Amino acid sequence: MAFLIAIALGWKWPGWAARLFGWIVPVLVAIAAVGAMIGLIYRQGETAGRTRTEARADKARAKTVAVARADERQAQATVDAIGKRVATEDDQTSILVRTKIREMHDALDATPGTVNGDPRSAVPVDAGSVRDHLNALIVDADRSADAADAER
Amino acid sequence: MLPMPSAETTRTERLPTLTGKKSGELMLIDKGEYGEQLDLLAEAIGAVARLNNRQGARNAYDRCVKAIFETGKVPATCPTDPGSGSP
Repeated sequence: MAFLIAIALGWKWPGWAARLFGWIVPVLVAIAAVGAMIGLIYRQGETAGRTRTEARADKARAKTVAVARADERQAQATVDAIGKRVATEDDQTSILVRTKIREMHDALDATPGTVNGDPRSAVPVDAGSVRDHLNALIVDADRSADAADAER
Repeated sequence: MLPMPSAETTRTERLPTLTGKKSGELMLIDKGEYGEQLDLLAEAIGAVARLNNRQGARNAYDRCVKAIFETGKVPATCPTDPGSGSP
């Protein structure tokens, strides 16, 4: 403080202060210049590094998304195919059921009923053929179960 | 990792085949009514078969979708072309 007051009052600088000043100022300037340089380079490097990292991350993300989309398309195609297949299988089962129902009715129609409502004139139904027709349907249902279990 | 359904939800239904066990006693039944009962029985068995088909489709769906998302490839056991029928 005393030193600053002395300068303000126009006192002459002591020789050692002038020498020290002449030495310290360039050093400080040099340090500041080096610091600014380092700061600038750091900042530039950081910006460039961030840009590059972001670009790389974007590319990696785009690739991941593309892979996921491809997987989704494949999965949809497979699911569509499964749907088509089950529709065909259902149709085949329905056709078999209709066929067996018609055959059983044909057999029943061919079986004579009672004459004038007399129970003694009754003819036994061919239960064996009815059983065979129903068993054919049961075998179809069980085969479907086997196929479904194999898909697990 | 996609979750897999529990075993209980993938179960199928099976029916025993008719054995034709006879009692030796005969009785009368109206032809129309007997026919109707047979129709319903046949349709019920067909319904079991169709539901089993759909359970198979569901099982295949779970298995194939899981494999596709985890490996990126369609397994050989999964259908891919909707045009072709059963593989």
